[in-house]
Amino acid sequence: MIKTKIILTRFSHDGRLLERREQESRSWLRHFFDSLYPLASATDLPLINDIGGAARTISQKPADNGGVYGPSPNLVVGSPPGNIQQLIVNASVATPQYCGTTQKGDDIGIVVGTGVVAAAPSDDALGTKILHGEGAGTLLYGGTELYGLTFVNPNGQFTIRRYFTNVLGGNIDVTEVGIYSPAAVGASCYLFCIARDVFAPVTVANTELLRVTYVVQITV
Amino acid sequence: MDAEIKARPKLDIIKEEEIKHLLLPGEMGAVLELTVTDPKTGKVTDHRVMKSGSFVQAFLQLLYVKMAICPASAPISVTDTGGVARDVSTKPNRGYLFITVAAAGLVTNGIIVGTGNTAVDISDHCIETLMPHADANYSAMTWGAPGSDATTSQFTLTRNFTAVGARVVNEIALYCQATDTAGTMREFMIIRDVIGGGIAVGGGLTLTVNYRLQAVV
Repeated sequence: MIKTKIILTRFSHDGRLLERREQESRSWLRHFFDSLYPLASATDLPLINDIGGAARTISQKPADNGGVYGPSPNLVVGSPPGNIQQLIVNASVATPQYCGTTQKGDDIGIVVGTGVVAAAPSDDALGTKILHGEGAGTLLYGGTELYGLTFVNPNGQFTIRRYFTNVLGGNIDVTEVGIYSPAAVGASCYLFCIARDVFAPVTVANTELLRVTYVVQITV
Repeated sequence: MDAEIKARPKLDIIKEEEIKHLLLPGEMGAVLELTVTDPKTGKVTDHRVMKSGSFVQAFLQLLYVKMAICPASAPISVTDTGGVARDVSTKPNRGYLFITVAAAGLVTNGIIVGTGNTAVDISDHCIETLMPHADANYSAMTWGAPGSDATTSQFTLTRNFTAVGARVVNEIALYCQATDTAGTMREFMIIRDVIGGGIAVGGGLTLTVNYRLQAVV
């Protein structure tokens, strides 16, 4: 069984702990399985909504390259910061190449928003994503990092983490977190929301940092 | 003529796409559905639905490789079903993970059955005692596309086993393929379940195993 904790931690500009919340995530969505299915079955999966609500066919053609299985961007969560582009290797063309549609770092991995509608398995995106930036109503997205893969029977876990900095955004009430991940669609890749949780507002003031941590755990 | 052969299948077989709600909110796991059927009559002789307890170490390791885009210079060491530690990473032209494709008769990938009954340990890397194809007639793997209702999303992996003589299945596992950093396809066990008391499958009967991977919001 897999359980996931979300830890929300708010810091002052000089690193003082201001607030810490920990809760069980209830967030894994159908698009997690939509991304896993083409890998497991080696078949395309049609009509899956990306984060913009457009229906895409998530492709997976493992024998394209002379019978050699290619790589896939599905379920990638690690990402660079903010506006730095993530180069995603495309699996569905004869010669492995980077997707024509590169994605910004803040569109992959942990994302935060201001939506308040409860999560549903069929969610395609956050209610309202907070954009990456330094101006009003925006947060500076750090990179999404993964670490801490450990096992002690009967448990195992790893951690996904991202920092968000309020530069000059004014007070921002963060009410939802999620995870966006790319998936191969033909010769391109698009983004899909694989996790989403809604919670009581965490107010991040100017110069403060918000750290969002997912701890993914299995127990046999 | 044998009247049994002409009998119509019973109509109480569970619909394959019906979502069984066994997991709690926040859980992601698998529901294991076992059905024993007489293929001649369609009669269901045993049907069980239970929580699968046991994603094991390799599942989390492979998920980590995928999510973290682990480079070949910093691979994750994962023990394959042969007990050999393999470096796994994501790299161009390689790094394919979680493939459960298996043709009929293939006992090295997909859903596997066995007779071992030792409790699951998170470090288990293979089924304890494999039931060979000669004893269980492994079908090809099939998959049900993902679906969801108001609270639960899932997709289903399915395989049929037809017993050659009476058999008791005590353990069930899901193997998947992934390439190691050398570009060689390897097999890894990602789920193992031990069935308390086993499930008896009479000679000629078919055991259908559905692993329904689910998440509940």
